[in-house]
Amino acid sequence: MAQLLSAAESAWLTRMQLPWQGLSPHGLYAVRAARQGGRSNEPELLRPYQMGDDVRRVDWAATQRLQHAMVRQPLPQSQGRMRIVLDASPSMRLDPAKWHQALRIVAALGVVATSNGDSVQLWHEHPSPPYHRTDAWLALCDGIYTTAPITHQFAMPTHVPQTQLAVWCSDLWHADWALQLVQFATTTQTGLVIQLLSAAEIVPPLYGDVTLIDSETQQEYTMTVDAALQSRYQAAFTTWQHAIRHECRRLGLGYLFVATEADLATALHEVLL
Amino acid sequence: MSFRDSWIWWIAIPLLIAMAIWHLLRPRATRHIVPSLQLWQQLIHEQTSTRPWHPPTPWWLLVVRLLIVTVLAMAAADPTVAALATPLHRIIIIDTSASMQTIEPAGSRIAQARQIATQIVATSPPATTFSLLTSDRDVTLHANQLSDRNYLATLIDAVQPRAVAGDVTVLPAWLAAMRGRTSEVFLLSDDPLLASAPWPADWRLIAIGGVVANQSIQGCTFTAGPTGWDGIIRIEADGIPFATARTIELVDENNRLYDATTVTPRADAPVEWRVQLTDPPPLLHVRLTPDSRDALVSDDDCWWQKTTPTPLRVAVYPQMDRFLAAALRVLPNVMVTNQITDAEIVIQTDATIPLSVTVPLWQLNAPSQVPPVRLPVLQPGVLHGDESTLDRDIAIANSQVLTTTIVQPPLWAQTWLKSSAGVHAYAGRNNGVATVVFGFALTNSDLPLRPDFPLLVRNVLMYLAPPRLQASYQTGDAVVLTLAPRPLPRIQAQPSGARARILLRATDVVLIDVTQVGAYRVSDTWVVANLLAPAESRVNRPSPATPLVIATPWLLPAGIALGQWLLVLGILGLCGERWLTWRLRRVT
Repeated sequence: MAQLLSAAESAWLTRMQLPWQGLSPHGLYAVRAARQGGRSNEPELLRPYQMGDDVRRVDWAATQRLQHAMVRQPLPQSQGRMRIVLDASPSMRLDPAKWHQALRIVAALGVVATSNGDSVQLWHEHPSPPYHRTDAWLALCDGIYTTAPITHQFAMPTHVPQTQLAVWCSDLWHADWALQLVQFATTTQTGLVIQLLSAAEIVPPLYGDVTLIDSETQQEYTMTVDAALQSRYQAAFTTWQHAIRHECRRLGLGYLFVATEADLATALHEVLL
Repeated sequence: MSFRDSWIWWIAIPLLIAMAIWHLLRPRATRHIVPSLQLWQQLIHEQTSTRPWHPPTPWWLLVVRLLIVTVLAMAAADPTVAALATPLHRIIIIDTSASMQTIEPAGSRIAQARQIATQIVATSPPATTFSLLTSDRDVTLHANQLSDRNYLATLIDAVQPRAVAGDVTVLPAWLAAMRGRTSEVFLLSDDPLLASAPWPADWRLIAIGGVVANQSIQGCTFTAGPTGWDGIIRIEADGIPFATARTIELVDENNRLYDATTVTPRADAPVEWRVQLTDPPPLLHVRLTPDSRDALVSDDDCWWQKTTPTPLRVAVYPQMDRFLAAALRVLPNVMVTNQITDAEIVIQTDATIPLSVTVPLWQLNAPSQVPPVRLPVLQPGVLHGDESTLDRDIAIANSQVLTTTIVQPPLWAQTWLKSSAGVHAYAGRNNGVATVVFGFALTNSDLPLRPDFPLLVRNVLMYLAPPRLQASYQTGDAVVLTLAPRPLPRIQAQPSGARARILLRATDVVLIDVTQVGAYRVSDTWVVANLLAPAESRVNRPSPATPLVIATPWLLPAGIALGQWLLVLGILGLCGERWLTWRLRRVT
């Protein structure tokens, strides 16, 4: 059985925590500030003001500093519920390193959740039961890594009860990625989108006359790739990634880009507390 | 520019075309699986092309490859640049040795040679240039790269044979310096040695006169054939054929058995052997085997000698030249070979008749010679033996001989002419060759001007010539000897341009220093040349243009071999590169 996480990585992850609400760069900043010596000994979460919030919880200093109405909310106690949606489409399985990195991220997030007494659920083709134990979670991830079949097309789970925290790990190589982002946002209170891409997807090593085959639709296109086309591809890629980031922000979702070659600590630096 | 191995282009040109097509044809697109086409779809309409060809990328790499293959193919095809610089050059060499004077039913041999040379000139292409050379003992360049055919015809008509023997062996070395790679060489000669000489394969040898020339020396008859010598050896003892069958063997001058010989006893004549020689050595000795030798006298051993002149010094000896000229008028078909050594001038017939005249060089080594003596009266000599006398019909009792040298007759001398002071002339058979040696100076005596002197010459010639030729000269025939009344001062021009005055003193022979390389000129006649460097020995040699000489003859074939290997390696490299590219794309 493949070992997705090493012992050192597992030990490191057990000391981490997950932000359950208001996951945003500003929120993370405030939480970290509180953990590093805020006004209260209790860890608090600083999140944007939402309709219905008690105005007494408005942190005026942070509001003035961030130019946005911010409210301070005590971190919820444990016993939270997290749902991880794993994209197992052919594009994710095309590069074995990419698939391995995706499972490592999924396993790491589950380890953090279960080590803090939370439950974690993996949505991979079918929803799994909530896991509370770390070893069982790791066994699930290992099994998926080694034996999970390739799904022909990814489908975002719909009509599922909302959860406190949901993480979608995907490369977003879907034509309807914007629609799926909306569907994902409706299933959770706090959402995080982890876009996992390999270096060959960012700068494709293609040159000359090539026939490109879509890994999901098997559609073929023949073209001549030269330096000019590579440059235009880079521009299109940047535009596409920028659009995803903008859409996540509009939907109140966190966005994290992870390269296949990145190590675990670097990849989850902005996610874990 | 032309190419000697033009067949290389039959390979190189299709290769160049294939390389260009290979690079211009659009290769089959390689297949790649990508996660999604959504980004490529935005660009695909700009890059789709259905043309079967595409511009090579980078284009200059294709040009460099084509240039490399072209250069290698040119190197392998052995280019000849000389053909571009010079048109067809034909070198005509006419043998002017004494044998070319032979008159045959079709005319004299020299006339035949002139006619053939004229035909060669007339049938040559318009842009052809000609060089005309005559070859006898020396090589004379009459015209070098001449295009005026009228003047060339005049030069050809003026070619006359000289009373010297031919030495065609110096021709290849001499022509190697002047002959371009596109030249054609026509050699018109009757020299039987042509067949065995190491001529280049592309020389055109035109035989003049009879096909064969017989040589008969002491019972040996050799016939020069196209590939060697085919001879009949007849062993005689005192003129009587040896009746008992014997075995013979041929040895060279070092007494080594000449094994490249076919000796076949003739069944019908047991005393004769048929000998076929391939590449005969300079000196060949036919002798009986030891078990048969006791039946013959040693003097009857048979020698065949291919005489190679090895002159060391040159003597201005006008009287002796005229003496020999007179002899040659008497015997016009004699081929004479001069062999000059430090001690004497030996004029010896090569084969046709056993004629030999040995004249000691006067005062050549004065300290070791007997001082000249003054003889008031040359007394008739006392002749011995049964040979013809030298003083028959001659009244030379009152002849004045101012200077003479006392000669010591060797053991083979059979008759001599002497005074009270000693022997002044003798005659005999030296190794079977009739030889007459004079010891008195003709210039310092009135003997040549006396009516008896031609008779003395006749006596000498009749002694030297075989009986069958004696009828050609009888007493009373006119023998023209135009001797100089007195020695004239001569001006010697050395190759360096320096001039020296030569006085023909009391002696008949004046030796000039010819240690410098180049041609020497005495008075108005080119007489001598450097004998140490035969290629420079030219008479009437103009100043030709510097011929093209390849300093390192191994460089051209080595370059061709290297170019061929590079061509093969280049082809293999191109194929390997293509294969690797195809394989790597497959792996990708």
